[in-house]
Amino acid sequence: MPLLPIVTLWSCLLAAMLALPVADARAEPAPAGRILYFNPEISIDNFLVLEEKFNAFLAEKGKTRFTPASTIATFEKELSGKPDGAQLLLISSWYYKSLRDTTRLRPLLIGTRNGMTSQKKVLVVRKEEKDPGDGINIASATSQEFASQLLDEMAARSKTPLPKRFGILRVPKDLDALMSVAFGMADAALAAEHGWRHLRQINPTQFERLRMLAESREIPLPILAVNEARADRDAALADPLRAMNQSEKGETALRLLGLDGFRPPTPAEEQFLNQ
Amino acid sequence: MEYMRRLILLLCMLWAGGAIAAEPKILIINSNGAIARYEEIRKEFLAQLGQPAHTVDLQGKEDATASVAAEVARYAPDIIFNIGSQAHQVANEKFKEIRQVFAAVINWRRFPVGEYALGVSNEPMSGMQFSLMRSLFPNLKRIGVLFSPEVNREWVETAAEEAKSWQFDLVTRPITDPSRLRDQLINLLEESDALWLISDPVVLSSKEAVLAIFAGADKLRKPVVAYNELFAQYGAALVVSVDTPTIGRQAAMLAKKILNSPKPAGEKVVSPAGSYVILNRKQVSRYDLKINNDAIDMINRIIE
Repeated sequence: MPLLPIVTLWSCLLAAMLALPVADARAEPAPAGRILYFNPEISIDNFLVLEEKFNAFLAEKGKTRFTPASTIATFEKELSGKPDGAQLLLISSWYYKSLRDTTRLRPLLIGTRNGMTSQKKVLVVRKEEKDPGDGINIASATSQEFASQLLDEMAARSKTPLPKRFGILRVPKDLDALMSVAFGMADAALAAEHGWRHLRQINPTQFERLRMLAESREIPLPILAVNEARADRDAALADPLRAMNQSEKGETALRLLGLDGFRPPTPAEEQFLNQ
Repeated sequence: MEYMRRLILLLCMLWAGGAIAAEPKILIINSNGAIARYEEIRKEFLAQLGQPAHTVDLQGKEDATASVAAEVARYAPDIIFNIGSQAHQVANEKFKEIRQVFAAVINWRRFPVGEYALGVSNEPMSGMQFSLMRSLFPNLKRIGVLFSPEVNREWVETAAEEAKSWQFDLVTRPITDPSRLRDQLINLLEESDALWLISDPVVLSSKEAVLAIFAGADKLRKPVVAYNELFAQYGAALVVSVDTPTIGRQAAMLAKKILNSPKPAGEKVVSPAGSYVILNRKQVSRYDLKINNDAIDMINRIIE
C-alpha cells in the first residue's frame, strides 16, 4: 500500500483528535479580563501554540485570557468593541506609537531580551552585490507597512543610497529572510540585529558571504499598555506578567514572543514612547 | 445634453478598457482546488500579486488537456501559473510559448523547464533544515542519513558539503536493497547523534519501513529530524518543512519578474524561502536533547 494515503489518513485522525481540547477550552466561562496581542513587526504564524502557552500560564494566575490578532483589521475590530472585562494591549512599540494618535495609552511594562529593551533592524545583502537599486526583492518577517516605514527611516540615516521601490517577500522568520539572501531567493533581507548575530554564531561561513548595508535606530521591544481612561481598573491585569519568566510555562510563552521577560519602562523609555 | 452624456460614457469606457488592457492577463491552472495546500498557494499568490486572475480547476482529472487548451485559447493569458504536477505537465507541454510560473510540483526535475518558465521547488533545501537544527539543538554534531544512491547521490554529496558550514558531520549510508534497511539503520545510528530523514522513495518505501526506522531510532534513543509534518505522528523530534503561504508569495514575485522580462537573469527554479517548524517536546525530554531557549520563537507548533 502506498505510504502517502496512509500517513494522510493518520494526519486527519490526529487533526481530529487535536481539535477536541480546543473546543473544550472555548467552553470555559467568560474571562475576567484579556490581553489583546498584535505585532506587525514580526511574522507570527504560531498563533495556536502562542495562545495555548500564554493561556496555560495565565490560567495559573486567574481568569485573564490571551487573545492574539493576526491582522490589523482583526485587532482593530476587537479594540473597537466594548471589552467584556478589564483589558490590556500587548503590542509592538511601532504600533503603540501609531495607536496613540487615536487612543490614550499608558505603557505598563516593556519586553526584555538578554537584558535589552530595544533592538535594531538591519538590511543585509550578498557581499558581492553592488549597492542594490530600485525594484529589488527584500525578504522580511515584518509586515509590508512596517518594512516600508523602517526602510525610509534607514535611508535617512544611511550614507549608502537605499532603494526607494522594492517588493517585500514576507517569510515566517528572520533566519528565513537571511537564508533567502544567502541562497538567492531574495536580493536583500530586513531582519532583527540579533538574528544577524545568531547567523554569525551558527554559520560563520554564510555570515561572511553577506554584508550589512544599513541599520535602524533602536526600536523598543513590545509594550504592555493600558487605556488611560480605564487604568485604575485594568492595570492590575499586568501583575502576573511582571514575574512571568519565573515560571516554566511563563518562560515558554515569553520565548515564543522572542522575549525573556518584562519590566516597567524607565522615564526615558516612557518619554520616547509617548513622543 | 444626451449627446454629452453619451460622449462622457464612451470616454469612461475607453479609459476603463485601456486600464484593463494595461494589466497583464493571468491564468492560474490549479491541479486540484480541493487540496488545501494548493488553494493556500493560490490565495497567497493573488494577495501578493494584488490583481485579479482567472482560475481553471482541473479537479484532479487526468484528461484535462482539451479543456485547458480551450480555456487558454479563450482567455489568451500573458502568463500561466501552474499549481501542482498535473497542471504543470499540461501547461509545460502544450503552451511553451506562453510565460509560465510553477509551484507545488513534486520532483520538478522530471519535466524540462521551458524557455519562458520560472518555478518554486517543492522541497526544503538542506541549508534551511541545517539552520534550524543548529539553532534549536546546539549540541548535535553527527547527523546520520540513509539514501538511495540512484535517486539522491548528488543531493547527499552537496548536503554533506553544506552540513560542514553548519558545523555538522553528515554520516551517510547508501541503501540499494530495502531488505537490508534495518541492519544499515542500526549501524548508522550507532555512529550518529540524530537521524535525518530525507525524501527518498527507496528508504521510505512503505509504512513498514517508516515504522522500522522510527522504532530503531527510539530503541537507540536517537532523535529523528524529518522534512514533512506527516512524520510528526511517528515521533520525529523535529520537523522542518516548507511554509506553504511563502511559496505562493514567491511564485507571485517570479510572475512579476518574468512579466517584466521573458528571460530574466538568475536561477530559473528557486527553493522555498519560508520554513515551518514542529518540535516534539516529549521526544526532546526523552532523548535528553539540549534545546536553545533563544530559538523557541522559531517554532510554529509544539507537541507536548
